[in-house]
Amino acid sequence: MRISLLTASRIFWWGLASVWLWGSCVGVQAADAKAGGSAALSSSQAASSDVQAALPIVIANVAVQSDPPMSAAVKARWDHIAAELRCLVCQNESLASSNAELALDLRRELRYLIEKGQSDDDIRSFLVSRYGDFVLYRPEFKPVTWLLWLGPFVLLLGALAMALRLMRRTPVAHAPLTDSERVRVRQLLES
Amino acid sequence: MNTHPVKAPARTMPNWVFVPLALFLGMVVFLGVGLTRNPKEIPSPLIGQSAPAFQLPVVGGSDLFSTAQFKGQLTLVNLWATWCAGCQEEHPILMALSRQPGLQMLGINYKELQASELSGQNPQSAEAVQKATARSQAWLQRNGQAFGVNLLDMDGRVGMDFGVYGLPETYLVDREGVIRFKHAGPLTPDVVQQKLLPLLRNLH
Repeated sequence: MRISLLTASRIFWWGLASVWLWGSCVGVQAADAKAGGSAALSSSQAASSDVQAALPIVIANVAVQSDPPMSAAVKARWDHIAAELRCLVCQNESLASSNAELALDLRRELRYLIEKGQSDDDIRSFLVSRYGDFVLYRPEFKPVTWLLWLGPFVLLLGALAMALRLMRRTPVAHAPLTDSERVRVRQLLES
Repeated sequence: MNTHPVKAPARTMPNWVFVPLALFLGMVVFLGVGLTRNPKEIPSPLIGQSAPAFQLPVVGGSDLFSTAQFKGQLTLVNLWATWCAGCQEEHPILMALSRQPGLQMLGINYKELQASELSGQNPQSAEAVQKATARSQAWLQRNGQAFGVNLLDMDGRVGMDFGVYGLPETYLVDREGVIRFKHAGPLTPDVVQQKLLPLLRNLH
């Protein structure tokens, strides 16, 4: 199998970019702090290559060591809600999968609110009132987010209309040949 | 005798072919603007809202500070910790701001002991509070007493109500206790000159 130079360089750059993104979210908050930038609340030491799988361990070891285990019903709701919330420190991770310290705190708060019997909407508005719509992976449908929700469909419809127009276009009628052109054509064909 | 005038073949483009070009340019503009924005700056929904109600102990004292004490004076609230490098970087600016007349400087030492240091210990335990107090005071001794009042938020619960997602963060609370300004990350001379000082002048 031959891989062209272009494909190879694409693979290389994509690989580099993904490693960089991953690295910057899993353990580089310390470097961020050293560089003097805003010190993101650093992730726990337990960062593992499989963050999702490591989650229960992290919680057991660091966050809520003294807390009793969650009941199945609470756990189910907790999983459901935390997966739809964005971690503000590692913006491409959900609250459920992030190891950042803030995410640990917010998860504990979520659990507390669930056990207090608050509805999903109450919990969402608890977070939105503090961190804004940005925490929701699925922002509410309201005037400010109309463009966000409908924009892609508007673009798609526009593109379809355009395509239909192009397909329906009647070919332009050519002006009939003049006598002199006819003679010239004949000459060319017979030569 | 030539009845038909000789015409070049019709090659003028209809206007609508420029529509995709315009759409493309529009996207370039949007994406271009997007590139210049800092994704770490998340607009705070708290601007224009009352500061969250809280009550926290003053570091190294027996007093409590509560939200009611925002009333009647302009307050600059700075969330910081000794483990935060950006806090050290911005501290000279806070020192300068502490010399501004009519501005109350309130520090909230946010989660001085993080989960890794507590190793399961209750952050409110006497031992943890004592350790955090000592560290907080020593740091301010070294870097300058910028805060008229310095509070201890051991479990980060008050920080959460302020919508903190990284340190340092700075808020301006007006005389009515309403949050007027938020800055995430270290304060810079530009932010102070262009945003904070004009706002202070307006509110005075």
